[in-house]
Formats: sequence, C-alpha cells, structure tokens
Amino acid sequence: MSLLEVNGLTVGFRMPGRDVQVVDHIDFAVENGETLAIVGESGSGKTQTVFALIGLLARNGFASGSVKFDGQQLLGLREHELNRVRAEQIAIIFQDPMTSLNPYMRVGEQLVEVLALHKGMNRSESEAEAVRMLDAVKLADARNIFGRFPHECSGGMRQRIMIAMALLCRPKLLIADEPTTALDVTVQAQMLELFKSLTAEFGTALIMITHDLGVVAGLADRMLVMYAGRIVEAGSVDELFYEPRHPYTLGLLNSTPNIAHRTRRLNSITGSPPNLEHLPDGCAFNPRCGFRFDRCFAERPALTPIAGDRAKACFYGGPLVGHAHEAAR
Amino acid sequence: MSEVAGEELLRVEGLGKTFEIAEGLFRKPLKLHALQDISFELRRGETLGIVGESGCGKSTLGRCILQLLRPDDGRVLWLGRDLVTVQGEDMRRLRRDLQIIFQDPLASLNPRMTVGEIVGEPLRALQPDLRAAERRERVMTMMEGVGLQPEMVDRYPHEFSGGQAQRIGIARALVTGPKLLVCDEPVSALDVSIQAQILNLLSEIRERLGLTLIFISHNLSVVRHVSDRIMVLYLGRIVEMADGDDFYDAPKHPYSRALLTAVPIADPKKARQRSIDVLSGEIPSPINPPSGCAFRTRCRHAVDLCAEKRPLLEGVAPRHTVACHRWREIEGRA
Repeated sequence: MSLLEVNGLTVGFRMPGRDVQVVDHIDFAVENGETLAIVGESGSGKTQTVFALIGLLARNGFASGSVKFDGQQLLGLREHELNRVRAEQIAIIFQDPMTSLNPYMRVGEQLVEVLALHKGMNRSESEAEAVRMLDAVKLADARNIFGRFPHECSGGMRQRIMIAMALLCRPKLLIADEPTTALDVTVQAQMLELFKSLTAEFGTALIMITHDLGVVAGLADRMLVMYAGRIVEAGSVDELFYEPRHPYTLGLLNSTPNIAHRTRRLNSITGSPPNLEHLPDGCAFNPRCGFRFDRCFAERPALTPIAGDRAKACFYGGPLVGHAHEAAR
Repeated sequence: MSEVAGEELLRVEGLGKTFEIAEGLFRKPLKLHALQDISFELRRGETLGIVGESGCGKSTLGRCILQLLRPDDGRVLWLGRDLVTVQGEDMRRLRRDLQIIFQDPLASLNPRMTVGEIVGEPLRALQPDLRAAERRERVMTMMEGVGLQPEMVDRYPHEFSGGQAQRIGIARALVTGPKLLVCDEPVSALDVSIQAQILNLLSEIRERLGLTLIFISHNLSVVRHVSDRIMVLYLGRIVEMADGDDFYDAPKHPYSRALLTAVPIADPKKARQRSIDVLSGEIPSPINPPSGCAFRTRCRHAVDLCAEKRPLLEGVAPRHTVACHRWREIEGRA
C-alpha cells in the first residue's frame, strides 16, 4: 500500500451561475520517503490538487474521488478529524512564510503551542524539542531565534522556521508549495539542501509543487506534469528529462534557459495556457502542439501506462525527434 | 550576439546613491548606501546583464541611469552628455532614447486606459506635436512588432494574460524609438513557456532595431541567455565584471562562484553529481555594511586583510575586472 493514493480526484469551484472544474479525474500515488514533484504552469491545477488533498480548498471549492492516506479516506472527513491528520501526519509549507507565521507571537511560542496541542508535551519538554528542531533546520543560535518575533527574522530564516514547524510532529508527508520561488538563488540552494537532508533524516515523503525544472532535477525522484487540470505525463525524473514523451513536457524543457551554455533562441511553446472554462475540443494542449493530428481534435487522450510507472496522455506515438532538448545534449 | 561592438553610448563614472531612512522626529536619519562608486561603459548594440541578490542595488542602478532616481555622486554620460545635470525640456527630448520595462506587467499598466492609449502615452508626452492619426498608426505598427494583434488596440489591460501584458509594456517602451532599453526583471513574473517567448521577442527586437539593453535579473540562467557582458553587484558595489562566456566559464570572485553554483541545473544527472558550494547566511544590512570587503562575512576564503582593507576592482584579463584580495590564490586552489 502506498502512503498516499489518489484516485479520480476532481476539484471545482462554484461560481455565480456555473461551476468551473480545475482538476479533472487525476490518479497518482506517493510512496513512503519518496520525493514527488508536481510541475505545471499557472492554472494547471497543481496547487488545487494538493489543497484538495488536505481540505484547504476555498469555501466555494468542492472535491470528489478518493484520497487515501495510510489507508484512511481523507475526502469527506470532518474538520476536527482532518485537523488531527494535518497536524500530525501531513504538513504543508507555503510560498510566503510571513503569511503562515503569527506576527504577534514569538517564534518559540508558536512551536511550543503545536507540541502542547498535538503531542501533549509539558512546557520544558516542548521547549527543548522546539529548540532541537530549530537546530535541525540549521538555524544558527536556535535559543536566540526562539525568543524573536517573525519580523525580526530574515526571509530565509522565516522559511527555515516554517520547515521546523512543519516537521515538529514528525509527519509522514510534507507538502511544499513553491517553497523557494520568492527566495534568492543562494538562499534557495540552502533550502533545497535542507529539504534533501531532512527528508532523508526523518524518512519524510515530500510533494514539491514547482514550475522550476531546475529545482525538480536536483531534488525529486518522480514527477507529474500537469496541464489544464490533468496529468499529461508521469514517471521518474530521469525518464522525463532525458526522454520526454509528451510534447508539453518537451516544450517545458526547451523553454528553460540552461546556465551551462548560451542558446541563440529558446524553442518555446507558442500561445498561452488555456482558459479552463473554454477548453478546446479533444486534447487541451492541441492549439499549442507541434505534433497534433486529426485524432487530437476529436478525442481527449487519457493518461495511459507506457511501462512501469511511466505514463502519458498523448496520441502521438512517434519519437519526439529533432526536438532534443538542452539537457540531453 | 554583437561580436562587433559599436561606438560608446553610455559611460557611468563613480555613480553613487544614498537613501536616508527616518528614525523618528528628533533622531538623525540613517544613511543607506545603495550604490557606491559604480563605473562602466556600454557600447551600441551591447547587452549588459546586471545580477545580484535582492537588496544589492541592481534596480536602483537601472533607475539612476535613466534619471528616474537622481544619483548623489558621479556622472552618467549619454553620448558624452551628463544626464545628471540635464533638466526640463532637454530631458524630455532625451527620454525618447531611454526607456524601461518593468517586472510586474499588469501592475505597470494603467487599468483605466486602453492598450492604444497606454502604448501611445509616451508619444503624447514626449512628441506632443505628432498628429493623432499618425500616433495611432505608430501604435498599431508597434503592437504588431511585438506580437499583439492590432485589432486589440481598444481593449483594456485586464483582458490580457501576463505574457500579453508584458508585450504591451515592451511596445510602450519601444514606441518612441529608444536607443537604450532597461529591462528590470522583465520575465520573473511569467510562466516558463511565456518567459521563453518574451526572451525570444527581446532578442529578436534587439537585433532588428540595433537596441542596447541593460538586463537586470536575479535569474543567472536567463541573464546568460541574453547578455554580452555581466556585472555582479554586492551591497551596492561592483565585485566582478566580464564578458558573458568568460564570466560563466571562469568566474573569479568567490561571490560570483557561489552564485553560479547555487543555480539549479535542469539536468538530473549533473544536478546529482555537482557539489554545491552553499553560501552561508544572507546579504548583510546595507545600513551597516561590514568593514573592508563587504562579502567577507560570508566568504570562506576571508583573512584579516579582507576586514581591514576594501579590495579595489583590478583587471585580471582583457575586459575582465574583479574586486577581491585573494582571487589569484583561490583560483590556484580550484
């Protein structure tokens, strides 16, 4: 049994006079201790997918399908049951750490509160554990940080505090939503190293949501590529980077400038991601695809296994030759 | 891409900018030295990439060159004329040559103006004698030139996606036929596929119009892709400057080295093999910078000398300067 099993997950929002579907019947699984990256552009549904998993959709949102975590069905749980799971089993880190920390509370108090509530620890135990965790996320002088307010910490320090808070209850699954997008490259590199060492140390599974393929390459074991609310390709990171089978994956790789050498022109994807309320007939990617043919306009391709864990949602069977991307060269 | 560099367009000499930060009614304001002693020159058709972490002064430099902020020290010579001293009507005339595009495309467009009005605004302000019909004609041509359908001329910004909004920003900057375009993080807010389209558009426009570009970005992969020359800023000072390939293949300053190894590589095997020289800590406060070399607090090569004496920019190869006491020893060790 996988740690997380998602089947037929559909997410939508009720809008005045209509419903808008943003995630459309997706299936995936996360194993214990592995790092899965979910990649896609704005509107691909990557963030709403994980928000639905842990009951964080906006008030007008709805989700159907099945989300099993450690065998327990999460969809349809009551708020207090969900709170238990969220605090102790699944933790989430957001892009902007400032919005997730209470500005009126000292850092240490926020950590101690979590431990008192969910682990029933007394004051001295929880304080010791909080400092130990601040130490584990490599904050120099953890004692001092413990007594500071969030605004007295730099952006990088706050992001470390968020990670410490997320790991306090030793969750089995950590979800990180674009955790390094707002950071400078030097701080981003520190964070990625930290994610790598902490997931290994605590055996935590990680779902990393990102649009940055550089982050995926250095960190993840497997990846899902999402487009217009569906998974269009899934597999190991090496497979998808070195031998992409969906034209959109190839396009994303080609659009990423490579630091190793200068390219005259990037092989970008034409057009923009579609409006979810007016998806084209057939494959949602067809207006931007260089490999489309008749069938792509008539039918929507389903995510179909190729071999092992590898799957793609594309009718085009030929090789994506002559379009080899930078990394493979 | 300009193998043959043209005449010198811009020469910046000893530019400095200080901001005062109020500490309350009766206390002396703190001084923040955003830029100190910046000197460089730019030739026609060249693209200069300016990189560094947030707070290093890269956006301030772009604005000081265009006189959107007035520098406190130094000169900004545009075709031999010091822009810092130019005022009023003279500056207005010069503005046709000097334009800028911004990071957040939607926020930089007035939501109550149509695309045609937005793109035509610089013409209205800087070339008021132009007839309305002629202005509209130029706006439509410019829209087509940046990949926008001219039929969209009467639509409002909210009807456009982020990528299209950035095209509007580019059209607005180009409509007066500038010679120098400052691009301040022009693709940071865009999706990957749209980012690539805008980068291609900028390259194409630069070649077609023979534009000179200053490209400010924290993304070193993007900067490599577009730039002929690279300037690295740290706490308001230049720490290294070199031609693109020299910089990316053989950086000299320990800060440049650290920045480059921190960039994630979109290649799983290389990413796994690579040992990352993770820079500890974050950029110190510019209000109270370290003595001597400002980078020494994060530098693992720092010795006593680095705290005592600020290193000056010295030539290490043709068109390559670096400000570090120890670059030779560090290179010998690497």
